[in-house]
Amino acid sequence: MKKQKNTIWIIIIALFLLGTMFPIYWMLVTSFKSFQEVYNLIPRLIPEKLLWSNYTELFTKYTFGPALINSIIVSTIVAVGTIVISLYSAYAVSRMEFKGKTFMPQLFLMAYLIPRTILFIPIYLLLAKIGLLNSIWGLMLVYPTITIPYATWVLISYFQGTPKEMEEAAEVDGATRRQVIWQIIFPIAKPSLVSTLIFSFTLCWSEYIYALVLINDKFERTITVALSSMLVADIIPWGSLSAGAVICALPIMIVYIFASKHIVTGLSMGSVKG
Amino acid sequence: MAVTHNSLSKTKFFSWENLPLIILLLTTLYLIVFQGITTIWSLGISTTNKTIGGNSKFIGLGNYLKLFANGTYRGAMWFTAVYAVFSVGLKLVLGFVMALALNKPIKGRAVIRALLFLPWALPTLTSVLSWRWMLGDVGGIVNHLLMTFKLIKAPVGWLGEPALAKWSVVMVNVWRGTPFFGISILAALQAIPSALYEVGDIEGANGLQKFRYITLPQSMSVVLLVTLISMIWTLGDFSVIWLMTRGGPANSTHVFSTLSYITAFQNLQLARGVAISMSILPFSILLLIVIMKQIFKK
Repeated sequence: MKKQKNTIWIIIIALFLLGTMFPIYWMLVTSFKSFQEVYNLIPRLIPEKLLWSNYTELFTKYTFGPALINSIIVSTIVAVGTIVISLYSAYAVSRMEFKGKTFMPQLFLMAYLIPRTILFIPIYLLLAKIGLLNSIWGLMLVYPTITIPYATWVLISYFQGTPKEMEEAAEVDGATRRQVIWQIIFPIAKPSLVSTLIFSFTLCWSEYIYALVLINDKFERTITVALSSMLVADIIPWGSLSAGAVICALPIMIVYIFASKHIVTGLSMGSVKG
Repeated sequence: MAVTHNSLSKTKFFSWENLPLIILLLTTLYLIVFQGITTIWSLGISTTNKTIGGNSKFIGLGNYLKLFANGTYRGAMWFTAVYAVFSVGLKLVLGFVMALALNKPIKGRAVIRALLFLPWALPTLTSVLSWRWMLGDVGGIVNHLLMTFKLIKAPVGWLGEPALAKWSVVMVNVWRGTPFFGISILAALQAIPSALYEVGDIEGANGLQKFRYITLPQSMSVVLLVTLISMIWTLGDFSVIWLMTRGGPANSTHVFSTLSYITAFQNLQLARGVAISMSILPFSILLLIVIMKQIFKK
């Protein structure tokens, strides 16, 4: 009886795995196929031979290079900036006294949950006013509206679950706030900070609607927009698009291999619930 | 945000000791400007006839009245609701099953768990591209497989026929979002004290009864919260639909966000586009209030 039950769960898991992995596998396989093979009427589950031409074409035919560099710059700068700002903000919310303190976590959560589709047109107008349309600087100004609320919220929960005895002891010994933050809190909080950093990077790396609206210039756009612009064609170049999708997924895959535990926790409601 | 005195901050406000507070203050201002004020500003714009590059004149509720009379808008309203309800409903059911399955003692569980959560970690663009390619009518693997197994006779226009396109975008949203429910509910399941199940065993409860009287009530608050959060995100979703169908065929898969993008940036009717995007605001605010109450109820 017991054994039979487990079989059912194993079948369910197998189905989930198949449904999850097949689209990823198919994208990977397509990215290595030749144009002829991609459009063959009878698709082959395993490609005849592995070709890199779809990848090279991305850079020679579709100005993917600048987009890749832009995405790396924007995501890295915003993610690192976010961590520093959020560390300080979360510290202030959890360890300092001021009026309106209790409302702060709610403000950050609200800012995290508010849909971007409500804000994208006025943000476009705002950036047009200050002359930052068509520039990755504009994106760097806007993306923290996505990453800071998330990171600060997670770090507030972290601080609330961490005893402050060590910090207090250091303060009694005359440590300044800066020393407390960087010499006591920072080393202990490192794992949380790393997973928050990774997730902030991911949020910027995958962002689409702001990048689509705020940037028109071929050389200022990010990978998501560069790839989606390839969808507007009579014959959609699925080989190269798949190659682009793979590159787009690559940093996440790499991080996943090394730190999937961190990511999974970072993505879960655990981080929202605190 | 006035500083009250504590042992360390008896100096003036702008000091190194107060750096965290200063940064918090600036961050708060930044978020208020970019999210709070822009929202209010949009409400203002939606009462004008502003176009891109044109002047604007106050027309009150003119945009909204015109929109309600417009069939495409009403279609988008309807599909926004259908898309959100069906996607979230399916994600909830599948996510719950996924969490229950992953909660069983199965070999290689950690690896399986990581693999099943991939769709949520991957960029939306990656998953949407992959699905759009698989569902394509030329060279699409889905049609090919269905024909191989004799489930369909001729290729089906997954994204070309309105009814199928609607299901297709829901399916992609579900594929991407199910792991979010899965991880969150799994965490809730693992937090249920095993003593409860032992008591159930002693009292002779069967699997279904244990699910009904232990698992379900114990995970309810997390399930509710995840559902609400997913609802607010799905109502505001843009990428999946825009990248799959651009609202087509024949406007059948438009939601508020895609219609507002087209109206504002392709038809250049900025104010009307804002009015469309503002249409989800009442629901978003309502959901936000409920979510806040749920999280901060302690």
